[in-house]
Amino acid sequence: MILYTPLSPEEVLDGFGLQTPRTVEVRRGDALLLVEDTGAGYGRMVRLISGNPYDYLKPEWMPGSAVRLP
Amino acid sequence: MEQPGPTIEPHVPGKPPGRPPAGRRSRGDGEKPGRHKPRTSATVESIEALGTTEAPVNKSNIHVLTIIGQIEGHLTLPPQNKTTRYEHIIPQLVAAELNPEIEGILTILNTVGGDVEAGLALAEMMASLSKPTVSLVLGGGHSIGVPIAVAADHSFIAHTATMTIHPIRLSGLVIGVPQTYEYLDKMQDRVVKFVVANSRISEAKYRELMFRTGELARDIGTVLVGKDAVKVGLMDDAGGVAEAVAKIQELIRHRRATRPRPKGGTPARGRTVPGPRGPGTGRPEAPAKPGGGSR
Repeated sequence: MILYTPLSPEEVLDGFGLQTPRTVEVRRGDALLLVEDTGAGYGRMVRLISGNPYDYLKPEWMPGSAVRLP
Repeated sequence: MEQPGPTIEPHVPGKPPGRPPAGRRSRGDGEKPGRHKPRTSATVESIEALGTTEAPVNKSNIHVLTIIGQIEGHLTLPPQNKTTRYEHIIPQLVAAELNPEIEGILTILNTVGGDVEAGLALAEMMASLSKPTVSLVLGGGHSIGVPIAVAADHSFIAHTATMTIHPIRLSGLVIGVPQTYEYLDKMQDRVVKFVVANSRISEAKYRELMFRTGELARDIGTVLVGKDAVKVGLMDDAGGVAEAVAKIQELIRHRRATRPRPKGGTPARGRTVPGPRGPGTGRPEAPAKPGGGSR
């Protein structure tokens, strides 16, 4: 990985490898949503995987938006 | 004495006043009477669960992309970094290119750089769009943010925004062999060549800025503030949101005039305006600058 940034690698990479992302896959039609479970039946949108490019313009599937878990 | 006033029906939640119950009324849209059932839309769900309502949607023909924080590449960065991920941006750019309702793309940058591969991927994507693109650097557009900023047909920088030009580095385990240096040099050439091909700056000037000493405390290179970036030919204009929006609307009008949209289909493919942007660049030039934006 080549980081091209005026920040020092220590600042950027501090804590690298410590995180444990916990995402669940939610299927909505043909799209697959990677959602971080935040509890109470809801999650935070992390990534959308879809072959339909227009899915990526949907505001409800933007990264960070709340998604109801099945 | 009681005055006879206008009759006011008590409002029953879920039932519009002054109308018969939905179940008994023929809706005239093919729905059978008595089969109306309550719907739970996404809006109702979010009101119930989160107490939020959606703002009214007013569709724009300009797609706005915000590039903030670190450009994240193949590795997920630790959570103290605010990041922009290429897997989020690249499909959006594809959708914006395909969607006939979107006529232009406005990129807002406040980035501190990041992964070279991911940054160049985003920059190449933006440069290859057939629709007009305008970029605006607010705050900072450092390092790999520079190619992304210059990838647009017309680039703006806020008067107080900065752009850091400096050599790339290799982090992690470095094997001390000549090939390591050659690889690093090749990676740097990718950045330099893209910036030179997509802006008015010469390669010699860009390299001079990149290797200048005495300006940065911890590195070699240069910090360009606002109009300095315009003077050296890196950015096209100094300005803010108003100038950027006016420019993209001008580019859209120009595109409509020169390439009318075919009936019932998507716009014809290809660049907005033919003609090179600079000598030997192969990049098209936006219509003549109105001269606005610079103070």
